[in-house]
Amino acid sequence: MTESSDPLELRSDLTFLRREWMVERLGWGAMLVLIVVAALGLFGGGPLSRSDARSEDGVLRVDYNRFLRVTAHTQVGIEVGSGGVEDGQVQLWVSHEYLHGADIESVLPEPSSETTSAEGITFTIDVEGTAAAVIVVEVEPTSIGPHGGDLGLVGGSSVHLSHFVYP
Amino acid sequence: MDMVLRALAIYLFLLLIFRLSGSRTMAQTTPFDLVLLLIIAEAVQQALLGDDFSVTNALVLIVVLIGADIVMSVLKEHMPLFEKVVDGSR
Repeated sequence: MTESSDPLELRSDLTFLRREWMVERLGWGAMLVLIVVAALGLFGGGPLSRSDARSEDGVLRVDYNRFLRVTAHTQVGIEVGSGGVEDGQVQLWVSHEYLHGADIESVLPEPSSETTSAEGITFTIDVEGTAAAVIVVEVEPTSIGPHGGDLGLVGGSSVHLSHFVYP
Repeated sequence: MDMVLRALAIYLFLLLIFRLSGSRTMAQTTPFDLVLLLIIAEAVQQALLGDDFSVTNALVLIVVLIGADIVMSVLKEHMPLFEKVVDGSR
């Protein structure tokens, strides 16, 4: 039995314990920062993440989330001004670069036709009236990391969307 | 934003519900209590995750829940009345 000045023979190392408590408190601080930052949208879905892309001529305006999580669906809202509507139709194209790493779950309204070309996939959507058309595309990211691509109107303006996808 | 709020809402709701149900003697769980616990866990998982199976989502949720637990324990330490209300007088 080792000689010990402590009558209870406790094997507590006070210096280590104090350091441990300090690390614990720092950990709590880090957790609080993480929660606040997550609530603000750093990991998707909040003011930090909401982004707005406009085309140069102002015809196209896209609302999207900059920060995404893999497998979590996100909605991309595309507003096409009356300048983008031709013969009651909007021809929206999405580049292959964007589609590589993200699945398009749905396009609302349902496009009347979908064609593919070297640049990307073109959706033809019927529009009623001459006011601005709003199209909602539901996207599911499938690969982690930075992800982006172009989206635009055939023969017209385009915007570049860039996301960061968390694992 | 809603990840954090959902986790907090479910944590507080479960706390409230279990407190109200009067099952303070958790040591004496009958098979029925176990079944209830299992089914509640399933329902909660669906509500928390939804269609989001990312690691980030799970980690943030866990941090929020543990954080809520820490806040509760700190409050219980400093306010005896709070401790009595939440834990019951034993």
